[in-house]
Amino acid sequence: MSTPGLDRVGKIAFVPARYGPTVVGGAELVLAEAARGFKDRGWDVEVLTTCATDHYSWSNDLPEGLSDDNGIPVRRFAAVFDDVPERGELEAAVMAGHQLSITDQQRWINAGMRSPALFHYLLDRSADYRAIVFTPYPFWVTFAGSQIDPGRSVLWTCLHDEPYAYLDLFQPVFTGVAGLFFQTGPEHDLAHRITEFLAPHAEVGCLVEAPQAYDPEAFRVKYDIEGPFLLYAGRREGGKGWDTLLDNFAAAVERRELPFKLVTMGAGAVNPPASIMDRVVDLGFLPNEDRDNAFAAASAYIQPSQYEAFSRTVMEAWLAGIPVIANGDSEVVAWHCQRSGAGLTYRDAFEFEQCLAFLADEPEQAVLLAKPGREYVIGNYAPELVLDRMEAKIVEWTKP
Amino acid sequence: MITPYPPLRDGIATYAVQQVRQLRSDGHEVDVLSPTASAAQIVHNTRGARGVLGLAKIVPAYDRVIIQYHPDFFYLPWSTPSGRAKIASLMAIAFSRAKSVEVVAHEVRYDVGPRRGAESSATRAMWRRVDRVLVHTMGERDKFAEAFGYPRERIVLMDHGEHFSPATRYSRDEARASLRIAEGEFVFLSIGFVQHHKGFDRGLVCFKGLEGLGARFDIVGSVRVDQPEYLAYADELDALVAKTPGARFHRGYVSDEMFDRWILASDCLVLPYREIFTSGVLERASLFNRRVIAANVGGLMEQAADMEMVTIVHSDQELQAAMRAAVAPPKPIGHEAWHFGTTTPLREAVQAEVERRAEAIRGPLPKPPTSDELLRGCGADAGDSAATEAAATAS
Repeated sequence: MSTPGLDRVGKIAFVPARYGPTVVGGAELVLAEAARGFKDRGWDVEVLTTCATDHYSWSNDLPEGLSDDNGIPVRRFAAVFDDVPERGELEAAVMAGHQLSITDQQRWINAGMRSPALFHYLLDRSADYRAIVFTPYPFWVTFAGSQIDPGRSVLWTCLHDEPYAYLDLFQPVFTGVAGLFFQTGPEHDLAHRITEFLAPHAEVGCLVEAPQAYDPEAFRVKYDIEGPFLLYAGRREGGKGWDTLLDNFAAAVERRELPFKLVTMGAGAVNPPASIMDRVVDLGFLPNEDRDNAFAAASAYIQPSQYEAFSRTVMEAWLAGIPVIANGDSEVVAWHCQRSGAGLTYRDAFEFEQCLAFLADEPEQAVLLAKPGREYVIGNYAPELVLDRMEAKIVEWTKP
Repeated sequence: MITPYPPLRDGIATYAVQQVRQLRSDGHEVDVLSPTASAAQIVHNTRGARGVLGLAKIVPAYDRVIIQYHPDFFYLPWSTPSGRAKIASLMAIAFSRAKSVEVVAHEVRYDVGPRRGAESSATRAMWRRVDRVLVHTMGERDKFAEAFGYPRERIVLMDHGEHFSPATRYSRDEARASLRIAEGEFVFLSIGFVQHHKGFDRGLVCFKGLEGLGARFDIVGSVRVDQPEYLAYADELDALVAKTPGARFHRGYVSDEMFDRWILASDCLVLPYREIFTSGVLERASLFNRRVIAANVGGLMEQAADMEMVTIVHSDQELQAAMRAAVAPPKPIGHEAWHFGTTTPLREAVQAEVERRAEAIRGPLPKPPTSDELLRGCGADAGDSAATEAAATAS
């Protein structure tokens, strides 16, 4: 369905900080998919990335240099990460909303992972590319790299309403690049609130591929899951709302009889409270097919994160035909829930409990609630639609 | 190259990366050493004795060492003359261990050279170990040679904007549209770190009244260091802008691209500096063929010597007149006949007419500064008021 007659001239570099089949992270995955999509449409594409695959250690797991990933040249450059205590201190200050001087903001960004080799490659070779697409905004590679040749730099921004976004440090990134891709209306609105002179921008959505089929029963048999369960997929860390989810779930099952287990998959330690230890099932990393089937088998998907730029897992839930229960403080997910009509939001533990009560008491209504979700995802975020939008903007914003 | 480096928001860092790009393009293998973590390959705190001794171990491995020099990079801010003498001596040792050392002099404490004492001797000895010193004006070349007894033939005059290239790809129309500048608006621009020695407040005072001629005055920039006196000055600018119709203060951190975009979009840059060595803003304005009104301080007159569209002013009155002339070229009032009444004494009539005609050109005279304003000023602590704006990125 790609746009006929589009002028696909010039090479495009996609620059995720990590790239590879074991990489976990929404923004990096999206960029990898976009790179493949552009390649399939006839663009000359390269991936520029670091040798790291893990965003905690940033250890250089993969070799430096040029490799091939199904026809896409991948250039890897060493990551440098000193893991100094200062980074944690400054990070804590930022997240607590303290006003940091620009000097301290710069110390913060430079105390994280850096890649001088990738920086200097772009310094030498940026003119080889028509466009250089970076993601996400608060990573050093994006921050440093996008300012080398801003007229060619495009961001898959992934802007959340989080303390980082308000740092003065990122103003140059939001104002002085060739273009910004936003995934949702709230992200777009937030960008306008943060920056007086926003760079050219467009709401393009996010690529979401619909699985061909689901087999929820196969999932249950394989992983020995009986009875109804709630699903959480993603990093099990405080920043993603995991700890609060555990607390809310524990409080809900203590206050009323609820039949649900909590099944989770992804990275990070699970650490459930003792009172719900027997209800929490950790599946770790699942192959894609099992992951899809897990969604289809669940009674509902829980999205506890306040800081979501798009929330692909919510889309996966709707594609699988299940309702979503989401943190109402996430403007983005609340926006999706409202637009699709297929999700409920909660603002505190009590509302969370009521959402679960609805699922338990009215399972057929819950299925009806979820029904429009699939059409919402396919009608807005099918890969062909999103790639059409991205291509059109790259051609508009950049010159070969 | 020993220098602060991007993504650090710093004028010297921006200057340095442009030079690095050119060197790499010329086929050189370049390692960058920066005092703080950045895109540099080597991170090494160059301040103090330990820092300088560390340099002595690093430099022998290189064929050529280039130092983007500013005293803040090597001397501790609270050091005594004897402490500084020690650092200078250690730096002389470090330089002697390198195969070749060249220094790009962004800021130098010339006052040290002619004095008596250990600091002066050590500093002169340190400079003698440098093979080449690069400066941006002839005035600096003369000063350096005199202050340190340094051979003039080893001081190279470098075009300040030699490695400069435009950071924006916008056309002028696109730049103005993106900054929401209405068609026909005449834009005066002062851009850069906001601090007292820049004199942006002078520009605002001299701008008063020009909005009636379709002009606006935009100040773009942020505070360089979060110290009370700098923040207070920025707050004062805020207050002054609020009282000045047609003025705007875009207070904040801008990218190199946005910096150039503002310059390109403007009609006239105003550099009402109270102190400066040389100006990166002036060079960037020249890149984009923008008109400039600049105060006659430091090396600006020399720097602007070959630039066509620069007006140098020597006082607030001249500044005001130049700004008015930029937006509304004066009518040929000289051809207007003099008329005097018969009842007013001739001298009074002529005096009144003289003043009337002058005001028609420049607008009302600015109010003289208060004693507080005269007394206030940023201190001359290292790295502050007279800092060379190597590439003058605003942030």
